[in-house]
Amino acid sequence: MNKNIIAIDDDQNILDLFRFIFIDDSNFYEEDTSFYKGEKFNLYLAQEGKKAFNEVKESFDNEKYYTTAFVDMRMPGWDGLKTAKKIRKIDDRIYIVIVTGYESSSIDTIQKELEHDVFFVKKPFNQAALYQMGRNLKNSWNRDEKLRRTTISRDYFDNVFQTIHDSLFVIDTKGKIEMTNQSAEELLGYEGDKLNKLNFLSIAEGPFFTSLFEALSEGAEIEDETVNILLDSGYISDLKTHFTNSEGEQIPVDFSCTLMRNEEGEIVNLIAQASDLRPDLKQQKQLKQIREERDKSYKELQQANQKLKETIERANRLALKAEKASIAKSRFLANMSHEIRTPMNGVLGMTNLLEKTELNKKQQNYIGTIKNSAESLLNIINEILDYSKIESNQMELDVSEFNIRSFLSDFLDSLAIKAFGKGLNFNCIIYSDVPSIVRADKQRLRQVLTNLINNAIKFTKNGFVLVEVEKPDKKEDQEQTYLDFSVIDTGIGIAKEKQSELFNAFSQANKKEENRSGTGLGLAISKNLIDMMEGSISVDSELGKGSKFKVTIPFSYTKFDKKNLSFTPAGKKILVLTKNKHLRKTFQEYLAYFGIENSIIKEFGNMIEGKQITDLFIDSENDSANIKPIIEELEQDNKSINKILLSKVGSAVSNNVKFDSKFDKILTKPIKSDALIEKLETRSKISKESSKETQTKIKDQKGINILVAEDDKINQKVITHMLDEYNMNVTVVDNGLGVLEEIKSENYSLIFMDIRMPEMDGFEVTEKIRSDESSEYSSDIIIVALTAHAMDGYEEKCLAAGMDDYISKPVSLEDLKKVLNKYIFTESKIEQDKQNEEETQKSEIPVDFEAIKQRVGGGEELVNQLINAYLDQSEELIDNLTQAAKNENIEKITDVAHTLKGASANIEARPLKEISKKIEEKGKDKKLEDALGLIPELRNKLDKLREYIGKQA
Amino acid sequence: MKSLVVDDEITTRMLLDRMLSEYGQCDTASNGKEAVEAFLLAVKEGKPYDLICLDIKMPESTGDEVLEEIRKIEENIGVSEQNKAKIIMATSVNDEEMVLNTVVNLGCNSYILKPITKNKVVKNLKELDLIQE
Repeated sequence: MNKNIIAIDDDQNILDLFRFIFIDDSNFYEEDTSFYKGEKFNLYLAQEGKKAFNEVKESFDNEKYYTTAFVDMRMPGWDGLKTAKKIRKIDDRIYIVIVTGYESSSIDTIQKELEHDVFFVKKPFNQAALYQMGRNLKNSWNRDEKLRRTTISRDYFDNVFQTIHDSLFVIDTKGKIEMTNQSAEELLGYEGDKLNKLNFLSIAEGPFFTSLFEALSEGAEIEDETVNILLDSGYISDLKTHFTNSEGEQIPVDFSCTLMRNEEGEIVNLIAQASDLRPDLKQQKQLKQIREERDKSYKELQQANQKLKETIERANRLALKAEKASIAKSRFLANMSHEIRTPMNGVLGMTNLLEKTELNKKQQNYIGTIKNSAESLLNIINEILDYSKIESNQMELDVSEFNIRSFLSDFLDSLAIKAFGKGLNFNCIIYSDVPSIVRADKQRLRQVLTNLINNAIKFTKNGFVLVEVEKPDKKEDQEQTYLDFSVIDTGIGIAKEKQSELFNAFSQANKKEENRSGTGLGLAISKNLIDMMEGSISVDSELGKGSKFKVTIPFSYTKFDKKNLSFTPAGKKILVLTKNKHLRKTFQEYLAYFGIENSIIKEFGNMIEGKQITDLFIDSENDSANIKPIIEELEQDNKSINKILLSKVGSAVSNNVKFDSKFDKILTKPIKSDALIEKLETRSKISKESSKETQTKIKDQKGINILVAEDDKINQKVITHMLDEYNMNVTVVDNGLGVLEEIKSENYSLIFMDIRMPEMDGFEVTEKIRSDESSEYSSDIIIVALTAHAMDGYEEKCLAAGMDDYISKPVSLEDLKKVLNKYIFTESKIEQDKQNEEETQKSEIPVDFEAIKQRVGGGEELVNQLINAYLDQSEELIDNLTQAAKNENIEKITDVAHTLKGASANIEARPLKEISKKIEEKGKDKKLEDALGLIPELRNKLDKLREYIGKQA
Repeated sequence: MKSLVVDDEITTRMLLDRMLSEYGQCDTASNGKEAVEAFLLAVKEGKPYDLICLDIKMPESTGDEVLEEIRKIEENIGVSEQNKAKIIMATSVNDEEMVLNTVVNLGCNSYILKPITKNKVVKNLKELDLIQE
């Protein structure tokens, strides 16, 4: 209870009196102590109105309230009225008691200003009466306060009660519903007050409720345990029960309830709380909708998936089809090359034969035309095929090592003949610092150069065509270099604006020219091939003045080593006389290449200074009248002078009869370095001997010629690589006709012959060689078939065709060794036999440890681990196999055999691999009986393996 | 290079494990389920496999199913094309169409014919730029 009062008076005596009345035990005035002071107050005394105001304000802020203020009317500073008003402003619940010394007419005014609860006491006052007044006002304040507070909490309670989500019922002890909230009304479907008139038992049935209200209303002893718990603890929760709604439906609810007791502890009310256990209808509806939408989207998704699946399948089919089509296209092209070239070869071959028969001039003319047409047709076909190959990325570079000097001389002659035929000068200058032994794809390089040179000749009417090979950088100590190949002509030239189109397919710069011919693919092919070789091509040309095509290609090369040269120059003094400056340059570079010094290379007609010339080269172009005196003069000085005439290739030497008698040798133009050196050698004893020595040496190392006929590039590489081990001369051809050509010109000891080759297959070639009556081919040549057909009987076919032996592909070094030992290194034949014996034994051994190590590159430890793992696993596999055999499950048998096959192959357990393979094959053919029949053998082989391993350990 | 070998057959697993361990961590799995689990774990650890060797023929889920699943996971977590695991299918069946199907449609990077040899493996690794020449 709040017992705070405050007294304000400027007279300290009065304040002391207040203290005495409301607090002190001792009497202030002895005579006036007779009144009873039942309780003590909390009293605050203030001498000024302002101080009192501050106290009230501060207390109010701290939730301490004064019930009554006793205010003196007349005070200095704030008077009683002002103080009272100020205090009221802070807390208007406070009772004001105005204490005044005299009757004041202003009571009405004061009453009006303070509005309510103002009391007046006249001084001097009766102490007991003042005490009573203070006590009454205090009690009155506290009563009012209680009322005020209840009102607030009631409003609050109503709010909570009504808005709470759960249903609430206030029930009296007899079961009558006193109050419900909105949720309860909604739950049970009653409107307004209707629910309040019902008995709770009509809503909630069941023994618990019956017993509960019996206990509550009649105080009966109840046996129901739940009810007793409620009565003891005053609270129970989580009862699952059913309520009956206005329509008689049963609604599942979660029920809890609390007992309310009054101050005396008697139960007055029961507050029941129930939450609906049905899923929210709204939610249910939403849920249903969501489900429907989900089902719908799922269906749509399924449809989309189906469509997607179909599309993917179709795309797959198309991709496969495209892939197949692409493969088919390449095959078609490859076939076309054979199909067209074969008849073309027939045409050309027959034409050649026909040419040799007796013909009149007219007929010879016709044959010539046929031949030219056939050749150009073959060229066109080849160009188209090349271009298609490049387009479909089928063109592959075949890089090999070759001598670039001999390479160029091999094909320049045929081009030179054309040039000379047109009355053009033709020269090839290979600069002396160009390395000889280089690595590149020579076929492709030849194709590019041939194309460029042919063009140069085609578009040049007079003047010259010059081929130059240069090493643009002069460094020597490296393994890679670029080489420039320039083809220079004095032809019609190409206009600047046409030069950019030059390398496009199907375009020819001089469309109006009458002499254009060909596919227009030549330069495009060349450009592509050069790109493939990572090189570049450029053109420098002026219309009417000629062109220069320059091809730059990277080469790897073996460092130039003069010791490798078979010619050692000594005591040579060479004189070259020609008007042609290109030819002079050629000589200069070639002689420098061979390290021949002291040579005189002069324009013809100049006087020669210095004598002792050992070798003289004279150009046939020189005026014959002037040649004679020069030779005579030189012969006077040195009778044994070696006189060599430089004659155009292809031109009949007999036309130069006049020279013939005077010359020892003829060297054909374009000059080839090896031919040049040959002409020098014949008269030089020293060089001849040294050359012979070198040759013999080479022959010793490489006495045996082996021919490999194989069209597959990879197999070619594999076999040549393997043969490299034996340091033999290995030549590779990629078709049957090539074999016949090769063995005509060279003595071969052995041919490795692929069976399936373009143009002529292995059988046919063999037959041709064996049945050769004109002994054009040496018939004792050994032929070994390379066959990809591991089928039985194929080997017999090879032998029947006249081959000596066969190797199945892929070729292993082992097989190759066997064959070479058998036929080539016959001395070691006995050893071979021994080895064969071992081999036979080897294939029967259950597991080949060495082979594992070799194949997987591991040591002893790995082999042991592998074999242990294999044995453990095969245990399980055999169990599976037995089980599968029992169930006659052919798929399972096949699968297990497959696994066992793979595992056996891994550990090189060949017998086991073979038997597993057989079982798998039988399984695939659905031959259950056969497969079952093989299982004991498999077991047997496995036992043998174990035994073997046991012994080895 | 971190690699995973998936094969139901133990000797193949051991061989590949041995060969690939030379180039870094190599895990093994004996079936498709283990393979996918290992793959997910590696991804979670932030150290995904550079190389997965998958046997094409396994009981339960086959190699191409595993391949498909792995590619799907990579797709879902947004692995860029060049960061995807290189997958080599191991097969003992020289079936061009099937291999083509696996390569074209399911995105394996290469295949290797059994029996496994060191040369074949090394060649494949080089071709896939997983090791230097």
